[in-house]
Amino acid sequence: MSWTRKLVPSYFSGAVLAAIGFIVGSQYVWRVIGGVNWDLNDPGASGNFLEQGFLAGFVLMTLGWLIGIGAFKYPFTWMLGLKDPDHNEELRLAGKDAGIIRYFRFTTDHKVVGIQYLVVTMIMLAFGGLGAMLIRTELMFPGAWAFPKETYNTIVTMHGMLMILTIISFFVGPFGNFVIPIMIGARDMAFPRLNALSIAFLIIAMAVYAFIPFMGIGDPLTTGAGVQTGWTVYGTLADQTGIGVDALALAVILAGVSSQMGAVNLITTVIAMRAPGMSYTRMPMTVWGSIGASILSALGTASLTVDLVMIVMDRVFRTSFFFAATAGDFANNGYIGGGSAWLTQNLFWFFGHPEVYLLVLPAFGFVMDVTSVFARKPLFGYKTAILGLMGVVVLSFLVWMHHEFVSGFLPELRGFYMASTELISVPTGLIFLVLLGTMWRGRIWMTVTMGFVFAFTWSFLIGGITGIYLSDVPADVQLHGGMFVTAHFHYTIVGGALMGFLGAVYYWFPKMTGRMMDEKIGWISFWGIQIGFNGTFLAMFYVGLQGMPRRVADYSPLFAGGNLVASISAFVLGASVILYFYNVIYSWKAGPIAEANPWGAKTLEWTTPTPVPLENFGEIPVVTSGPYNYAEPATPSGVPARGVEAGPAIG
Amino acid sequence: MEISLGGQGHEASSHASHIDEEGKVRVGMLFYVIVDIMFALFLISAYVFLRGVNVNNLWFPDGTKNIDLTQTTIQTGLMVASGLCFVLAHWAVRQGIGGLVKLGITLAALLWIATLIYSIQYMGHLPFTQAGGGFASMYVLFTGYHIYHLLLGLMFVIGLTVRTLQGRYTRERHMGITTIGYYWYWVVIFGVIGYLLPIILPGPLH
Repeated sequence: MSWTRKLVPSYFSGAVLAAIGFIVGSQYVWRVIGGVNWDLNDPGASGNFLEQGFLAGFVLMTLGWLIGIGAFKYPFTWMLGLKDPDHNEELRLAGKDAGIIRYFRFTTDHKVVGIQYLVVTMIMLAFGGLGAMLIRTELMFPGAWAFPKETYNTIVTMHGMLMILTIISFFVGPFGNFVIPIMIGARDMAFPRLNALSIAFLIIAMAVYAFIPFMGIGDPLTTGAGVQTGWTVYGTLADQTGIGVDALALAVILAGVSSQMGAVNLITTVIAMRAPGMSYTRMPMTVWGSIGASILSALGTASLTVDLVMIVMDRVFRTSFFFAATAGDFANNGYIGGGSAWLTQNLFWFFGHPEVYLLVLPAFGFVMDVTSVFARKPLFGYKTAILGLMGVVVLSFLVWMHHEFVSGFLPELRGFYMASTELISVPTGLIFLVLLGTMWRGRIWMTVTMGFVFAFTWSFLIGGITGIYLSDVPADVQLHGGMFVTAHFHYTIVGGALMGFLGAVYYWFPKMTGRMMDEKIGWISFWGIQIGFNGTFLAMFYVGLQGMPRRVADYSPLFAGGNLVASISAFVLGASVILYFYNVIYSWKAGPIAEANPWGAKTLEWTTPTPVPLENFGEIPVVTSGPYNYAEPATPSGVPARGVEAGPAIG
Repeated sequence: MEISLGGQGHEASSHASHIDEEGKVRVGMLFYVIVDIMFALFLISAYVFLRGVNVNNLWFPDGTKNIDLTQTTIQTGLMVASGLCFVLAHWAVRQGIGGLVKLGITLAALLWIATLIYSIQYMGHLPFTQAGGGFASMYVLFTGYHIYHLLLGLMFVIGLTVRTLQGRYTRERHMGITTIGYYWYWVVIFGVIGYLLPIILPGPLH
């Protein structure tokens, strides 16, 4: 039957092999689970073996998944010197004539990968948001009334890490994959198989991540399952906490590999596959923003990987990267010290700071792009904007120790990091100037996307300025570890990156799905998000200034009022995001059919018909001007590139 | 954005003539190696940092035996020999000397595998365990990282050898040798770094 052939290889066969891999890898665990001895002081203890069992299980689960989805087929064909796939084989792998099953398997078509990323990241956002709602439930009233404190710690850690992983892939995953190749006039990404592999890695990373809340149940050493270290997973605590941290480490390493693969792919695509006439200064800003993010991902993620590998080695093999003092002897799970707490902080934050710019740079590029479209004006200062984006990329590697001002490092160095952190506001300011200059005296078409652009401007401004306050060492000494910091980064990440993402979904929905999103629901969800978001985090600034620490389940009644306001606003925010998701799902099924260029935009993706054909263009266009020339006569809407028929039905 | 069509003619295949297919793979592989270099830079920084802070004087605890220079020299020598054979093969393919290409690649591959086996054996017979302090931990991580790359690179090595023996690489088309060469050279260089680092910044501090 043809449907059985369609199921193998696919994500279904991948899942089956992943499950088998996990069971085989961890069977040591299953064998001892009846008589688990947790006491690490006991030479016969199985604590370490439980970890090793889980780790082996996860590694084999990943391998099983990759084998099951058929990711090794081409590498092995290549390795054994067999015949290279011909064009028809490549088209088959890209999902030609495959129907809906192509979304549930290893498919190389960048548009399919983009949709896969969209769905996966939205599911991740939903779970991260669930964590946020649980946090705000706990913090609604003083006292650890909703959850045990250890459980709350795990929820905070998981919410933080999951949201970070989501937003890393949020923009460059769906839109970097679906839109950018078409935007630069290419038929696909530079390495289509690597593209399919990167989404596969993200999926298995999330499968490993899902284990975290269930790991460590019953462990007497940590009174609570999961990971309680906070998303920064500092080695000094992570080395000693429950076994959930191993799942976290592996999941994040896998997600980091996925992100780096995507980064290399995107940069190579932009360097090598632009259409004739598409010079670097004719590329839309979205591409520049995504390149900036990809550079940061490619260069910085290794630092986090090193940190996490060291944590796992400390835990399983008793190395002492982070153990400062000696304990026991090796025969009895002992080790000799020599590790440093600063090592974990520096390794983490050397990644951690570029990482947060990684989150927001694609949104910077996108909002500049889309402002030009909806203000019907050329971008104000194209080269200034590039200077701004690349300035952020370079400077972001020079500021990381502002996260460690209170860690006790050499005080003479603090001035440098304070200055560099303040300096990074200059390129960011250039981007704002370009944005405002583009809006100025434009006849703005107020779509929901443009609403999100204004929301981005407002929110990132607040987030950025509060970042300047935090860059000041005396202020940071007071505010570090408090809710002011939490409010600051939510304003930048949620207010910056998430607003950009939500605007981008609305903007490119017609091209990706062939339908328009419902505008009324769009506006209602937009305003709900604004009211909820600002209510939550303005109140959080307030309690932060009052002195409330972060990552605490129980706080002083002094902060009760602000927290109650924040929690109620957060529930409004959550409901509005759910409404936005509903809009996505409802419009995908039943929204009005979209024309090929509903926004009258001038970038290349809008010259293709909807649905976009498998190879994007019949003939590769030759580009003769930039993407923002609204001074020229209006581009006729919906004129397809010559020689092209509409592509396969989407979904 | 104004576009003009018809300049390229209708293309049935996905290989558009304006794209440099070889250049594309070169850029991609180069970026991958750059990512790997970053990883190595962080490992080196961690080594220097831990050695510098010497927490509780436990970077190189008293009584720890140092690594055996003879063995590491052999290990690094095997790796460098593999790299040199590869350089020879790369030169030969650019000159079009088919026989020398096959010989060079095969020798390079065999030396790669010899390095891998020797490294695993060497790791198993270190004079300390990974639990023996800061230096021990970093040294095991370094060597382990190198072995991990030797292992993962086996796929490249075997594939390249098979394809070279099939005669697929000519003077005009030898992208596989060039691009895998980037990875090959990087693994050799990292092996040399791992060799030199404990010599320039040794474990024992006095």
